[in-house]
Amino acid sequence: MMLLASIRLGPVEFQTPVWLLLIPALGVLTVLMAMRSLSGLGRVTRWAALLARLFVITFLAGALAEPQWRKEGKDVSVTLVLDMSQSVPASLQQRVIRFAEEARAVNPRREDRLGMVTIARNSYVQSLPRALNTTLETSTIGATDGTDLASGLRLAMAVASQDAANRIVIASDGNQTTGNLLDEAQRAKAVGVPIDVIPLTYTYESEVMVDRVVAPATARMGEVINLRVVVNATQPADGRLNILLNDEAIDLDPDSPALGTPVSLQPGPNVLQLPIKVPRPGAQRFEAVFEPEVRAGVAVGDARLENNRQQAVTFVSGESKVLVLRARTDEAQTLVQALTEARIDCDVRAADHMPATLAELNAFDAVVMVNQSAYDYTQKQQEDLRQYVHDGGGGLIMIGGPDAFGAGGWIGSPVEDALPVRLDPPQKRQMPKGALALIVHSVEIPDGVYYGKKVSEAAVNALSRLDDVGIVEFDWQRGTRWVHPLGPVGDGTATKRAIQNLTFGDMPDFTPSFELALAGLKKSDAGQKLTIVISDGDPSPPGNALLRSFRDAGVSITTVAIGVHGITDQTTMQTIAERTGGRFYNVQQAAVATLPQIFFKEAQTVRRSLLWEGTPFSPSASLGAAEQLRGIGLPVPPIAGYVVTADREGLSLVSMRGKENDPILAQWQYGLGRAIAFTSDASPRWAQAWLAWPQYRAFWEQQVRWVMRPTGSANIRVTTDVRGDQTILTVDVLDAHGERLNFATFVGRVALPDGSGEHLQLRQVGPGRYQGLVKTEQPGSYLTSLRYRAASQDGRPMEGAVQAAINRPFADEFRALKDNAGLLEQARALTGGRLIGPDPQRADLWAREGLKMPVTTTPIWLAVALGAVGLFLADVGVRRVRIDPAAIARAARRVLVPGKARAAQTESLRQARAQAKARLEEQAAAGPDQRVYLPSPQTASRKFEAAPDARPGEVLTARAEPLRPPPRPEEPKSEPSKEEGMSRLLKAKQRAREETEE
Amino acid sequence: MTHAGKSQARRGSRGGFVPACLVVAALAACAEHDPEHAADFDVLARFGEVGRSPGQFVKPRAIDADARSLYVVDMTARVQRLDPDSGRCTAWWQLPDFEFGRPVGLSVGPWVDGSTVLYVPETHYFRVSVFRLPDAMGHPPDLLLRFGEYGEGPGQFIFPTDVAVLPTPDGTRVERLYVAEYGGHDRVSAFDPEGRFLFAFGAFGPEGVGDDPAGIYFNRPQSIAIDRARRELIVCDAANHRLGRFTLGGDLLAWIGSPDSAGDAPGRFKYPYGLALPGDGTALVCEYGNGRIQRIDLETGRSLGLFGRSGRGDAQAASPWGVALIGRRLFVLDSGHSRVLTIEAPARRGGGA
Repeated sequence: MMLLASIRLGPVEFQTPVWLLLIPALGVLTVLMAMRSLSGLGRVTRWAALLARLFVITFLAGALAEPQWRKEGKDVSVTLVLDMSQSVPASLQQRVIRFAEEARAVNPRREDRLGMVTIARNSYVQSLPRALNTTLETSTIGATDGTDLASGLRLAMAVASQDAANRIVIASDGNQTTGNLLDEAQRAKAVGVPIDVIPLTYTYESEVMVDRVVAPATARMGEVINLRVVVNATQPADGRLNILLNDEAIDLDPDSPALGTPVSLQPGPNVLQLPIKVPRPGAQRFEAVFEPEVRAGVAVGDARLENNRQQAVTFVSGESKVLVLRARTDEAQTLVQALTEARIDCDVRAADHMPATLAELNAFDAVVMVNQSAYDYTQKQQEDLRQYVHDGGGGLIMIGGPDAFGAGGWIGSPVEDALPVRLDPPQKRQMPKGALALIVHSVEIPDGVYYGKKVSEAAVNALSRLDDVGIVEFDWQRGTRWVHPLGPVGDGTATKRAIQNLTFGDMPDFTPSFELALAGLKKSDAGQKLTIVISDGDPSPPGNALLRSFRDAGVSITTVAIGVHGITDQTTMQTIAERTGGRFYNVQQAAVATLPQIFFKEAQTVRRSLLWEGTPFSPSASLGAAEQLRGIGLPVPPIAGYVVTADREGLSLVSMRGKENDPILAQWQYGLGRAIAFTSDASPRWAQAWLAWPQYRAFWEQQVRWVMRPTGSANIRVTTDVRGDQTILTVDVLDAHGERLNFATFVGRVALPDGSGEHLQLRQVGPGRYQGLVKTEQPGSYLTSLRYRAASQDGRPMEGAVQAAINRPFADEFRALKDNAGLLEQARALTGGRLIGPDPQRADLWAREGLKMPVTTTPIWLAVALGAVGLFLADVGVRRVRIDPAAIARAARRVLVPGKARAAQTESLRQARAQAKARLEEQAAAGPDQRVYLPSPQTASRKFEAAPDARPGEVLTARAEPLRPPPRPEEPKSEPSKEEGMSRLLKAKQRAREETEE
Repeated sequence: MTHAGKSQARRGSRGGFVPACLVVAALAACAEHDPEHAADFDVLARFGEVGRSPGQFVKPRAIDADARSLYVVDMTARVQRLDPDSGRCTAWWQLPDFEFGRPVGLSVGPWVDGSTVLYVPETHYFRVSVFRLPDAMGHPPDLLLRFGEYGEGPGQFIFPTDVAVLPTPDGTRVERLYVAEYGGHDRVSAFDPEGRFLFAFGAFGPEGVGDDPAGIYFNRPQSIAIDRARRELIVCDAANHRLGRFTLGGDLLAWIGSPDSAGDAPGRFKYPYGLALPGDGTALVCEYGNGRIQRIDLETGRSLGLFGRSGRGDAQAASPWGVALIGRRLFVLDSGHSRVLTIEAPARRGGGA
């Protein structure tokens, strides 16, 4: 078995060393054979040949044994994981950075590496581990109201050097709000990375913290509720407690000019009870704020103010209320009048006055949106509306108009999910389409690339599938180009993939991008064409002629300036927009997050194609199917226009249709709530005839009452109890007679602070009492909505709904009053790390102890095999080629001293020529029939070759006598000399053999 | 001649080279230069990496050199003095103002007192500043002169990009400064050593538009340099993809390249950003768009050699912004990789080029 393991010989490691057995086996065989086969050779040659063969065998066996060249790393890489969360005092954080820099400065090995990862709510790599890193700086660290030590450790391991041994140094207080450090430490241990720790220890000796505010989840209007505020103090402290109701301070002490009430706190939990009368119906948000006593400008007894406030929400029942959102008064005037006559209480507002929180929105039982544009709503408001219906059980009616539905930019928005129609109609119903060319330039601000991608995605989301979209950017290798050619959006997948691959290159000038975009848009058959440029404005501007070309082609350019360097960049971008009829946006760095909304607005200008307007017609209606249309007489009055939408798959019911069966009125149940879409409008523009319709009031009253959240007859009280990351929700239900209501069925949803929703299950735990568990790990407001159905004692079915809110206003980050060094110690012990002392001179962060240096191996079998081939040739050479040192020396002399050799050669030739000439002259003198050899003109120019017209042996007589016939070529003129040559060779061979044997 | 040049010469001695050249020439006449077959840089050394420690850069955008040191400014607004042999940072400081933007140019030249100083066009602050050379780690710079403000009038700037320093005939003191700018009012302005405006020439645009009386149009003149031997001012007219030769009085002598001739064939440019003049009648042009260095005969405009190409390899450049020359070594500022590539500079003309 041992032979199966790898064997290491110095720097070479054999993976399958069993092949090395061939060396002794074949070696012995070779020696035996050599004794016979090589016996004819000389002694030296024989030994040389034998050795060469043995080497050939060794190398071949070595190559088969899969040899690898090992290279062991020598460097150590240290990644500092620094806790930047707010629980750690900032002074400590900076001290750690200086500590690491000083330790780096005294580390004698310059090749060792240093990197840094910061942790807070999210983790960021500040600098990769590099040998040149001598200073550490932080840039983006993200939100600091949380600590995820595990993700920081995970990131540090992800950026660890592959060719160096790694150490991770965690500097933290050990207080983590999410994640589990020890899970990640197990992984570090598995890959052999020790975790050294620098515990950041502190204790807040004097601290006051508002732990929680307890308010009943539900109350009746005018009721005096008992608000309990739990305040923790580490030392006796004095201060003032203020209570805010929906952000307005309540006067707790009418006898005092101040609003709050003075409190004296004892160490430990202090429970303060405050009777407060709830003045109005709906969601009432209470906030308790503790103000410590201030002496000489310093808060006494309270080190951190972030944990001095907490919130609670009470739902106060009252009459049903409907929120009507509209832009212009006249658009909803008739509708609101009709609803008011029907005794439905309407609160009419513009979009920017929509309730800021989901809890406040839930005070309304329905929301009616009259010709509302998506770009008037922030992303959060849109998400709130969706949650309001799905998880809050509220009702939603979207009424059309030229700014509503798809034409209002709602395509792809959260609200679209709640609507019973699809806003992006299929191909056959598309009107003349729009085309959008996006030009993207680098934005030199933090997270510029991230926001660039977000806004691009927002623009694409606002387009319909047949609209054209293209993206132009400057690629540093390929120059200005369409990274996504102008073409139909389709399902948007390809476009979004292209957006993800954007590099945001630094284009030197705008002109090539503009020319490319214009050329593309000119080819598009779209009815409306728009170019959007996102840039910091510092490329060289386009010429006026080019801007005129845009205007001539009917293409406007909207410019979005982000992080502009100064007034010039801004002017450049503004001028481009003004000269082409586009719009200019200057987005300050602080407001970068609003960019997607801007693009939404721009992209929707391309979407004006979704309106149908023409000769008024009466929509076809199938009234029987929809319960909210009962009693409405047919036909309904004609309409002169609507927004084109499409049927939605699923349980939506379309009860009125327009041209080509387009939905006019549709409804469905969405989560806990209901929604209705009416794609024509409620104003004289499209529905002039409706305003005078006798059933106008009945029609709209029935729509609104159908979507409104049901109110039950039961007496319900909800209480919430926050316990760590979980909250227990308890519901006590009494029927109309005050008896406990048993066996009720609850359907519940919880709207989470991050916009997502969760199912909530309640089970009966006692007579008329039901309980459920809500995970409340994130700080923020949780809204629970419950619908119930039960049979009362008299057997009549009862149903209703109730809401309750759970608040976790500040992060757990601020709850910690002391470090948690124990956790760090566990991680250190688990991975075999060290506790780093306070002296950077002795810290030795790059210590080698306990580290396994990384080894890189390179296969070298090919080189070894080639070596075997070379040796094999050498083996053949030794046996077949005789090496004559004297001849080598002569040849070397000829090569090294070419001039001398050539001179000697020339001299000998000259002598031979002189002898031959003398001989010829003797022959000529001997008689007139003797012939003289003369060279022909051709032979003079080309050496060692006969002239074409010359024949061997051809001669001219001195007297110019006729030529004699040429001798036959086949005449073996040189026969005697050949024989002579062969015999010379044989003799030489014989002589050589004799010498070798000697 | 670089190694690449030598290998070309060796190939040239082989049989059949002449017909091959004819074929290549014929193909080149009808086709663009194939960047796929462009050669990598023959890198002698490379130094620098992404980071904020000394010796590291964050997208460096300008480079210049005196006889012994390199000076580089990057997006952290740090000016670093580097040892050209090892790349070690021997001194650095940070520009006092950089919130609105970082400089895209940097020049080393003589000052009125005979010392060597740094001329920094503070691009996004619409001014030119003259500082003492950094000589310590992190010390604030010593400001000698500052001139310019936002505007299009005489002595005002939009985005100054580069400063060319005309020395006195003995080469020891500054005689005149030339400042290039872009941003829609692209031109070159001349100043005396005290920052007093002398004259300006050029206007924004591609050729043939606008109303410049001399018909000189620039589109982002990114670099300028003075050929002392020929008494000429050379301008990299980057977004017009050409070089301009001017007299020191601002008269146009010749354009090399044209706005519609952008490309990668020899003799063509794609965003020429950086410039170094060896003083032998040639220019070494750093092309941002082609990621290479091109040697140009200033008299004829002929390309004398192409060096390097774009790419992510160890011997390739990504969006190089500048180039500097010390003796026979050429330092290419490989901005996209935040590093400096050292290559052998072409021999001076007459010296075996």
